[in-house]
Amino acid sequence: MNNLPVSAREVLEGRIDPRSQHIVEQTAQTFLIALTVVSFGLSYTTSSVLYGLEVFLGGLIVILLISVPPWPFLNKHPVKFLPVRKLHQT
Amino acid sequence: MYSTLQRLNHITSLATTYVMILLGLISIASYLRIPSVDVGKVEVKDLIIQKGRLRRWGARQEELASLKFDVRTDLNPLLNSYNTKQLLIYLTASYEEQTTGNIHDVVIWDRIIQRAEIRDIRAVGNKLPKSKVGRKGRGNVRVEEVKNKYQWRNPSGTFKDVEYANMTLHYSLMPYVGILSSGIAAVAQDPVIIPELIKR
Repeated sequence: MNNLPVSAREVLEGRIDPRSQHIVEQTAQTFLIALTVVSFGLSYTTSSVLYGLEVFLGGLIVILLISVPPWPFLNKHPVKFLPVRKLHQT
Repeated sequence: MYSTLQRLNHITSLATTYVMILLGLISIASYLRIPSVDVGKVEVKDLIIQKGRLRRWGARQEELASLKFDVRTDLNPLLNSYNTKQLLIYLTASYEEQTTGNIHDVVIWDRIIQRAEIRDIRAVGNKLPKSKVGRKGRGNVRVEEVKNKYQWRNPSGTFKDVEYANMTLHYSLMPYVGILSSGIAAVAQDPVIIPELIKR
């Protein structure tokens, strides 16, 4: 990956700021647990195994779309890197 | 969570774990919710004993029982329940030998009833031939004057120690995901009497 040009590297890396990383982690966990419960409930009430699996797949695509690509709203508090400083000559 | 690939990896691995939990919940819930079946009827019409051979290499001349029977039962609530993929129904004859006291169970006929038309992927786009029974009616088992599929022999080679046999129709429910379960779908009213050997 180091041999690619810089613009390609940035797209593939998809950096987001640390606060958003934490939020994405928590959101994904709770969303998936809720999705499991909801899809089991729907599959039990409609008496169809396939329907529950389709609902789970739909929810999974939703959570992947909102968290995997590096959207701008995930990058609102970027890490501030300090400017380059020269060390004192000893 | 620091890069696109890492987020994709993490979220899909969480999702596969939760899919396994979902399938486990479905299998437990469907196992607890299996409906009960009204027991139907099996009638044996003809039963004869003849001398014959099994269709195998090195088979000896011994007594074989052939029969014709009727089965009527309705397995629709079982077939259309939550997690059923198909049903295997099989007719067993269970009898006891008088001299040795051994109890034998023989499967003499079986059939698979699928819940829906399972199509091959090569058939996508072609029209299905119109079936006689609708989708909801596939569980009506009604066989009349059917011969036994498998040859019925006694391990000792002769049926002279056997007086009567009980016929039962069992079913095995195969789910999409979960545990195999079985039960009884139809019983014969009285035990059937095994006659004498027909001498040619």
